Amino acid sequence: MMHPAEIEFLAENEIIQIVPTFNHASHVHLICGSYGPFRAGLPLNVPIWVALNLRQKKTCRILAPDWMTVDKLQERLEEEKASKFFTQLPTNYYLEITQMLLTVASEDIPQGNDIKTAVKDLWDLRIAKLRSSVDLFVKEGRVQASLNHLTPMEINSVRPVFPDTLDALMTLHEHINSSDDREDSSQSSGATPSSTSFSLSL
Amino acid sequence: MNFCRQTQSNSKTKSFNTNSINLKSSRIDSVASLDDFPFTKKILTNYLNEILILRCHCVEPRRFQDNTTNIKEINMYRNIKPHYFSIDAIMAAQEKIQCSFIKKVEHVDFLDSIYSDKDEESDPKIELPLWMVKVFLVGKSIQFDMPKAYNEIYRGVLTADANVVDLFKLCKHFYLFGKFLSQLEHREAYEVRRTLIQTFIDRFKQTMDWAQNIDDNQPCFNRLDCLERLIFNDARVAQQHLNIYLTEGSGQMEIAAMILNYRKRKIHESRVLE
Repeated sequence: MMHPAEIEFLAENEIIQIVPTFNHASHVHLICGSYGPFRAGLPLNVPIWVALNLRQKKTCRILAPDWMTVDKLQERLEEEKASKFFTQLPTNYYLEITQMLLTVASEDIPQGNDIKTAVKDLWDLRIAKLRSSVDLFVKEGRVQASLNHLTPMEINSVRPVFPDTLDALMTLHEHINSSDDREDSSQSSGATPSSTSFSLSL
Repeated sequence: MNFCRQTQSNSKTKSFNTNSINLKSSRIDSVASLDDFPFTKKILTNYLNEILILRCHCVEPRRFQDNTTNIKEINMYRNIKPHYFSIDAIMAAQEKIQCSFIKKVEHVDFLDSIYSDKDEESDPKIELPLWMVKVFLVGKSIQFDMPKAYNEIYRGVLTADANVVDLFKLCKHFYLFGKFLSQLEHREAYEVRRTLIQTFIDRFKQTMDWAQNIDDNQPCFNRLDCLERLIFNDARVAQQHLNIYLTEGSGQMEIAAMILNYRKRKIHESRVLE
């Protein structure tokens, strides 16, 4: 199981556009890539963690990603409602990115509160869908499911429950099969079942 | 710890059982309680201690501090399957079953010092723990009735609506004990197995919903079987993390202890060099 903060850490590597207010002629070389040059007023791509850091020092302005507008999010929401399966989202970390940008740079993003509500709606809808499909999966005893377009945070919400549930079910089933074999063999041997060996270990 | 709580409750039920048997017949009470098998009890106690020590060594729960709640443990290596050292499995094997001997049983006097010279033939009903029944069944010298939670009436109740049943009250280790029972040779074993699986499937959605949605879930928690409680607790902890993350954010990142120590050592080494 991952902690939500760990998933946020992964989300911080996503690329975002910023407009710096300072000049730095050379590239900055990082493990995740080289970024630059920084020119005041000209937008450039950096990872989110760099953007947040610069924003906290008030040396840049963050440009909201394309999908982060109320209209776009409503569109996604309608699409998600209409579809039986999970739809593809513009980014795998929509919840985390919204959360991070709105805490640090709420002034840079127009209609921040509406965006927050829309993202929460989208999340709730997808989680409800996920939970009902998990339940269906267990109820009908299916053996495979495709998890297309699920985001890490959503998967993490069922991760602590789902494998253990399947494990418990498998343990119950497993022993049914072995006992069925035993029954078959005892039936074939006639009315008096032959002495079968019991395992005495727990 | 989980284990201490269970032993207490187990000893309570044990003494209760002994009392109830005392009323019925004066002879059976000596067999019914584990206290009367000093040898077995000693082995079992040593065994439990050993398990406790082993568990403490093997499993290192990751600890961290939450802002709103106390220190929580995440056990990443939870094992749902009953294994040799599983305390739940041992406790489940301790549950009593009503049974009667159909054959004369000999050479068990080392278990029961009081009735060392008597046979167990043609006894009326007697209550034995599951692990003993298992041993006697190998010699086909015993037959047993399905315990209350698994008899035809309760199977009907569970099939009708498993969600309303208070499983913990019915049987603490409903699934494990049921599983062990259905491994024994009994005419109802097959139905018991089917009921177990169906009950688990039917109750799963409810367990998940309770864990993820309700804030005050003690009353719900009390109705779950031990196996369901494991799943419930995991889901609960994860949901709390998510809620805290959504309301308060992830907080400041900290420098790992390893890096800090490494730095200290570096400084120390450079000083020594100077």
